[in-house]
Amino acid sequence: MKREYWQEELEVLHRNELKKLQVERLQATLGHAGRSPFYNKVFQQKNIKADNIKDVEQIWDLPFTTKQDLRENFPYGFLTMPKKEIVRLHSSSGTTGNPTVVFHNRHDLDSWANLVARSLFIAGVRDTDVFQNICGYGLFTGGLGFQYGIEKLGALSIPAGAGNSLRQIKLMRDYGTTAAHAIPSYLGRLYEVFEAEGLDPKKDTQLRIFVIGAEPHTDEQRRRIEEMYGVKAYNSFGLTEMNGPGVAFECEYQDGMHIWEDAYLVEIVNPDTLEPVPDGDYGELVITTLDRQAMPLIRYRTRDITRIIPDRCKCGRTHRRIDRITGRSDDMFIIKGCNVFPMQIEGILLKIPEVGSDYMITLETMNGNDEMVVEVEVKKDWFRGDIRRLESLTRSITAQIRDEVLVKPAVKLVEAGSLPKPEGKAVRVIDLRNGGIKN
Amino acid sequence: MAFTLSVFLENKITRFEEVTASLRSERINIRSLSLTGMPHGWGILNLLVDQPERAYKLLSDKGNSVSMEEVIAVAMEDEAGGLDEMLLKIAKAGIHVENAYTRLIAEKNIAVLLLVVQDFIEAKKRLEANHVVVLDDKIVYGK
Repeated sequence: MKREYWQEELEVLHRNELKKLQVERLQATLGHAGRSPFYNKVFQQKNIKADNIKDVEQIWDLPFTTKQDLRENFPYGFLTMPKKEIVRLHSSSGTTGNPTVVFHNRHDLDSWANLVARSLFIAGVRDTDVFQNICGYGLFTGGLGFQYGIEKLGALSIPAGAGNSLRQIKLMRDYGTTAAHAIPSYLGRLYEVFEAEGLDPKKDTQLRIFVIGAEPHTDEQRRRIEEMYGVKAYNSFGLTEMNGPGVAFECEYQDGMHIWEDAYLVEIVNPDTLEPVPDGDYGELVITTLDRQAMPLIRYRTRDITRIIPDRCKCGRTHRRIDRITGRSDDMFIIKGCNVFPMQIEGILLKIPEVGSDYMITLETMNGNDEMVVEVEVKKDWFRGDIRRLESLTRSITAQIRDEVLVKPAVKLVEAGSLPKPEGKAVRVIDLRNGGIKN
Repeated sequence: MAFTLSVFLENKITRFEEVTASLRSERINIRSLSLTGMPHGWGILNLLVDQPERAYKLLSDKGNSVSMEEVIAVAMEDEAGGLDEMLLKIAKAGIHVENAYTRLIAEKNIAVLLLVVQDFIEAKKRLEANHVVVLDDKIVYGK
């Protein structure tokens, strides 16, 4: 018999039952949360008691949690249990300021692995697949997050890591890779390496499924990837604060991403008023974890803009779908799978006496490769007519930004006074990318 | 003693002309120039002009990043082998040249070699010890 679901009882659970499960899990989550220094204080101030929650709508009475809260309570302020119980942490990049860190106990890791396995399963990955995970391992959640999910699912995992395209192609050919995870812009680049090697992925590999995400891309870019490789490409959504991958995933119909409502309580709010918006309207995605013990998060503002797709999916799953992320309610951007806040770059420039504090970031696609161009002004009184001094300044700024955001920028020195001066809300980032995929 | 100017230029269509327009408006004459480094998206324009101090103030006031450097000017024969002959003497004097450019003075039938060096005073001493005449700035500027 063909198996259609990873966990049928949960995936097609009637919505009334699903809501009941959410209330139970929300109570449990609040119970855990109350043991962390941060939420303990908040709950006491606002007189919040887990037992009083009888309906998911009561979530609206609880306060939001923001990235700022995470940073201010770094590192252990959200921890609900002794460190002895914690088995892993994942963290955002950054060498200045406090990174965003999330802690997991064994239960959390098992639950996460199961969600990733379920996500891969609905995208059609089976235990007979050979799955190549083309992304960075380490603190970044895409590496280990997918790794544990692939293993849970039972597919043969190839923990390939990021980059080195020739080796990626060799692995695909040596072991007959059938499924892979990568960021979409990388797949455009990888295809060029296939071409340069005189290979056609449609004929020369056994690839059939790509899991893509972690980076904004359009449906046309997805279709282009599918054509280039002769695969089905599935969009996915996740963020470190919500474990990482496995929060929401496309099923075979590729029409929006099912967000796992047994593990995540979803709200879409107007980012200005913070009032809930009706299903179908765009707003900021706010998520409450429902199955995390070590570090639950209540009404976490993801800053991602999306909407709930109102209709039931043809696949029969009752978990609602979110649409492609259309933007952010803050100024964060994603390049090469890394989250970058302009403030991080500003912070670096402020410490370099040779350059001014004005800057402009342009994201563009050059030779099929996404680039972050950072323009900075050379201070007039520092200029000495020496090319080597300017070149070494360029190198130094490049290295400092790369260390901070993990993406190597193309630093371009410009004349003093030539960049637009900030007036009110300055536009610091211009995005001209096409996802690294030639049209 | 002569001075050259260096101007930091972005690689934009109009920028080079803006500099020359400023100099033109003040009737400052450019005697020689070189432009380097444009592949970076920026470059350095080295200018030899007849009134360097005025040009420096003018360009600086107009918001340019500009610096003024002392260069050594020596005379070469304007004929085949003239530069090589001079470089032999410079090498013998043990001078490390950081940058160089040339200017022809047709009426006097000489070519001027302008050298950017690290230690101007030391270089001048060594050249004179090797019987190389360091030119007066008036000749260099062509006044």
